[in-house]
Amino acid sequence: MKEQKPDQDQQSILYVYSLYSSFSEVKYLQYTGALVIFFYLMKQNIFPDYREHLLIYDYKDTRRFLWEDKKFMTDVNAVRNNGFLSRARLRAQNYRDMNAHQCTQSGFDFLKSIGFEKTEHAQKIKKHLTCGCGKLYSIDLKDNGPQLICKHCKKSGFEVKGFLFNPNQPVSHPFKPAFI
Amino acid sequence: MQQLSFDNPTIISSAWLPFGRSDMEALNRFVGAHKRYSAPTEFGSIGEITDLSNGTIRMDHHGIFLVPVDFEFTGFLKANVQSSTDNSNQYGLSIYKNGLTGLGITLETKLRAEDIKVLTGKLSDGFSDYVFPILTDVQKSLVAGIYNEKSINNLRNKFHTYSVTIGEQKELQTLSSSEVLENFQSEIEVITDWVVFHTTTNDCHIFAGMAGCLIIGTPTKEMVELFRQLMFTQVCQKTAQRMHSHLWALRRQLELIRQNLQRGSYIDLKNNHQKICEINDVLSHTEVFENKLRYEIKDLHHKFKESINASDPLIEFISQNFAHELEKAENRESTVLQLSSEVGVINDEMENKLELIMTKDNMQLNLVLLILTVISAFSIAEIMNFSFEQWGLVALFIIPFTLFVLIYLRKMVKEYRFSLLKRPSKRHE
Repeated sequence: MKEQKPDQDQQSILYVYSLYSSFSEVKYLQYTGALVIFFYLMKQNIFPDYREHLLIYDYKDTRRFLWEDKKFMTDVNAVRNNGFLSRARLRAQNYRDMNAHQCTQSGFDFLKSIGFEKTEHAQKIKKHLTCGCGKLYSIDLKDNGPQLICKHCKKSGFEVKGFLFNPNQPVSHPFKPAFI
Repeated sequence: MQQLSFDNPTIISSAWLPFGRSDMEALNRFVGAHKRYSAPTEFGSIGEITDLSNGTIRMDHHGIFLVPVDFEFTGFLKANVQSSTDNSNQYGLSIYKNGLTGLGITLETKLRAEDIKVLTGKLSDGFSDYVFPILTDVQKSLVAGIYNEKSINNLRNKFHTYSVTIGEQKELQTLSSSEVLENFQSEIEVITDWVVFHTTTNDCHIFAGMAGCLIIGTPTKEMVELFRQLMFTQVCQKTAQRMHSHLWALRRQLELIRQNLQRGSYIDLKNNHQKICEINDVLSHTEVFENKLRYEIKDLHHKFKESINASDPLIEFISQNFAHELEKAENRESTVLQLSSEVGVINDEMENKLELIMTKDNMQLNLVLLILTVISAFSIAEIMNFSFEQWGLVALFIIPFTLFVLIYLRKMVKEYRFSLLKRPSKRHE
């Protein structure tokens, strides 16, 4: 079955993966980290169609309610189905099962063929993910919330607010007990 | 097509907890279910009794308040649970002897899928506040064990739950579950995560996903019973996933200890020995947890097969779930057995290694003592200005000590050469 050509959201997703993964260095972008980046970009209006949906997912060694829009999930799958992203599941010493993606060579070739990096949209994405010193921000999954930090100059960095859902707030709607 | 929303939805967050008839009976007795108490009973935390000798008790802090609603002495308890006595914000707590436990609410408003997901998050988090305090110490340690934690208090943000949402949407009644999914997949999957099964039966659309189940329609009494079975298999599946990760992590820890066994120092070995003891403790908890879970799956599966005769996709799905969970439980049983024997082998190896180090240390100590004895004997003879005959006697006294020194030195050199041969190359490491 021939896959459809990726739309702008899907191209943007692929572009972000191309920035954060490398085939030669066997480097993948872990899914929670990816969600932090895409949530941040959504907040910067890069993905205007994405909404604030929640997902129960691994956040380091905890299970947290965190952001994942279902359209984003579908978009990632569409990019994968085109063969532009490869998926890895890694088992490390402390983490049982890490889900990560890497931009494939055909993914890099596709971005090059459409000249995506030169587009205004790509420039915007890169600007949001780049520190003043010119290096890409790294993801730091702190216990109380993720941060995007610059490992190079170590001066700039910021918390990505709203990514983790705080379930401790009381239920705001009136309710009564329900049983199984 | 309009956005999917539900009038007065019921949301229940559920999990499997190790109960059984004894724990069920104890809980019902504690809350006075059989006495039809309608006033709340407070469950505090460990260490609350400080003044019992004075005829009073004082809690360290307030716990949760339970009011029984319905019960079967050794079978189940349904109770309203709240954090204060003012009857506001009461959650519904359901606990069955087979381990199915749920914390639920019915909203008195119309909600969208996103709002429902937020509430499932709050209810899941609520297990730490409203369910764990009523468990016995044994139950708490079993649950904490499969999360590799020392205390159940550390399970906030770690505990695995499965949500069930029941909501009305009259406009969808004429459609099939496939058509509903086609039109609202994104919104349904917000609640359920990936849908793995869906069907329409008795005017209800059922969507079972990885994180939750959505039921659209008003279920009949028979359907509610069927949903309970479905929930049981789904929470068992969640627990099975947790167990799988847990057993994998234990195996990984054992592998690391085994790798460090050959080249570890005495202190490393002592530390690893401590770890092995901890793993052994966790493994024994896991075994008990596993046995309880397997027993309940078998028991309920048996009852399910006896009570249900009709052929229906939902019934087939539940039957298949039961069969899968039993198979998984059997696989886990063999893994637990294998890990137990591995722990035994590593423990033996470790004790041998520790004994060897102790023997080696003793040999070195003996050697030092022997050398010091020889030197002392010569020094005393020199200080006392011994005659030639007296020197002869000293020499005779010294000969066996010197021989032992030589024997020990020879042994040590041999062992050193042997250890050089056994040491793995850096490349191999």
